Formats: sequence, C-alpha cells, structure tokens
Amino acid sequence: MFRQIILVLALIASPAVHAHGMRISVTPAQDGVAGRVWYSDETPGAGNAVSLVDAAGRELASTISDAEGRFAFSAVAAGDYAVVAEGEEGHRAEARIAYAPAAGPVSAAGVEDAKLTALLRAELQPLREDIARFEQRIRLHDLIGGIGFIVGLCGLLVAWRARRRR
Amino acid sequence: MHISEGVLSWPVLAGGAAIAAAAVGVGLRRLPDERIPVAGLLCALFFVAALIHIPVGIASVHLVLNGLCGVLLGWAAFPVIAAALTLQALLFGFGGLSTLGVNILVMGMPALIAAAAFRARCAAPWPSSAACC
Repeated sequence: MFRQIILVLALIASPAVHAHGMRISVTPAQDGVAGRVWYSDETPGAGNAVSLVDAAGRELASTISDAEGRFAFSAVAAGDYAVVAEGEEGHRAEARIAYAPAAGPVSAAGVEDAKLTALLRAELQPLREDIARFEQRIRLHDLIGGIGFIVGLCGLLVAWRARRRR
Repeated sequence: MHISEGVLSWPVLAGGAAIAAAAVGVGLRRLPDERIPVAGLLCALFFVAALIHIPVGIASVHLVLNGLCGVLLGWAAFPVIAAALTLQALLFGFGGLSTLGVNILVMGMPALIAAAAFRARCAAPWPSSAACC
C-alpha cells in the first residue's frame, strides 16, 4: 500500500512541464511599434523570437524579446501588420495592429502634432499594456464555468447511457 | 505541452485529430458506468491543475496530472483529457482548437504508459480499478 502511494505521488509530480498560454500585446510607439510578451501566469516572456509580418504575409523584421519580454520595431511604414511571437514547446502568440506614423502640421497651440502624438503614445503605452493584460487574464468565472461544463458533460453521459439501457 | 495554433502543418494536425478521435472513442467504450464520477472528478482536477504554477529555477512548471488519470482510468483517460483540453483552449486560450488532437495525444500517451508502468510495478490491482483497465 505504501509503495502504491509513493508511486502515485511520483506520477503526479513527474509529468510537470513548463507550459502555459503565451500572450502578446503591441502598441504604436514613437517611430514604429512596440510591445510585450508574457505568459498566462504573468511572468515575462523573455528571449522569444518576435517577427513583424505585413498584410501580404511577408516577414519584414524579427527580433528577440528582452528580459522583461519587451520588443520594438523601428522605422515602420504606415499599414496593417501582424506581430508574431514564437517560443519553446509550441508556444505561439499573435497580435494585429494598424500603424500610422506620428506626423502632421504645427497646431494652433504651437506644438508640432508629430511631437504631441509621440508624447501621447509614450504616455499611453503602460495603460494600453495594462488593458491588454487585464483582457487576457484568466478569471475565476472562467474556472467555475469550466468545472460546471465538466459536471454537465458527466451528467449527459450518464443520462445517455441510462436511456440506452432502458 | 499546449501546442498553439499555427505551429504545426495541417497533415500533422489532421492525423493527430483522427487518432485522437479514435482514442477518445475507445476510451468512452472502456469507461464503465460506475467510474463516470471518478472520470468527472479527474477531468475537473486536470482542467484546474494547468493554472497551478510552481517556480523551478528561472522557469515555472505547471501540473499536468495525466499520469494520475492514466493510472486511475486506463484508456478512459483519453475522453477525460479531451474534455479538459477543449475547455482550457476555449476558456483560457491554452493551445488552440486546431491543435486539440495533437495535444490530446501528447498528454494521453504518457497516461497510457503510466497505467502500464503502474500495473507492471504493482501486481496487486488498484482498489476497484481492475474493471476498467
């Protein structure tokens, strides 16, 4: 009996694998696009290959995310892009962005629109990252809903078998 | 372990889905009525366990529990894993719907191996599980 318990404990522990959902967010930055890669347990996705893909599916540039999971692509032309992060063990996350460079005439207040846009983008970036993180966070009601589904599936199976037997 | 969308080519995905569907069918046939509550309980455990992260060095791991499913349910671990993985893909965004088949096999095969290893190691049958394996 004791040996069985040890074996079951070993079986619970051994198939633990480094894997969860990978997430990505991307926002327009001063002269390109920037963003962040992270995992569903809120650890940064450091050292992942991130590539910038245009609407036709061509890879324009690629980089590696830093220790905080951040990446940036500079000198990007206006257009629609997809940013794809690929990690180990089959992890992959993709985000889309419509980018327009900060540019424009001098406004009435005497501030160049381009500078103002760049400033706003820099100020808003943490906020946008927070929104992306909150949107993709796993919530308690997802968990409870899933358990409810499992109970329902068991009930369905039992009901189906009971019907067939009659 | 949760392979995401767009990583594998479609022949691998289609093959994985076909084999996984067959394995789930076999599993459902080998699940006796009185084991359905245990299967549901393990399914819920498996579903939740992926959220429990344990830091190991710089990385973190999460529990899979497929070995336990295999030991307690044998072939019936396949439908349990299939249901839990489908819900994880839909609600948590772990893996993807197109890679479901491959992921079921990746987690279900070790469950079968664990079941075989357990039975080989412990000659005495696990209480009340002799009927299902």
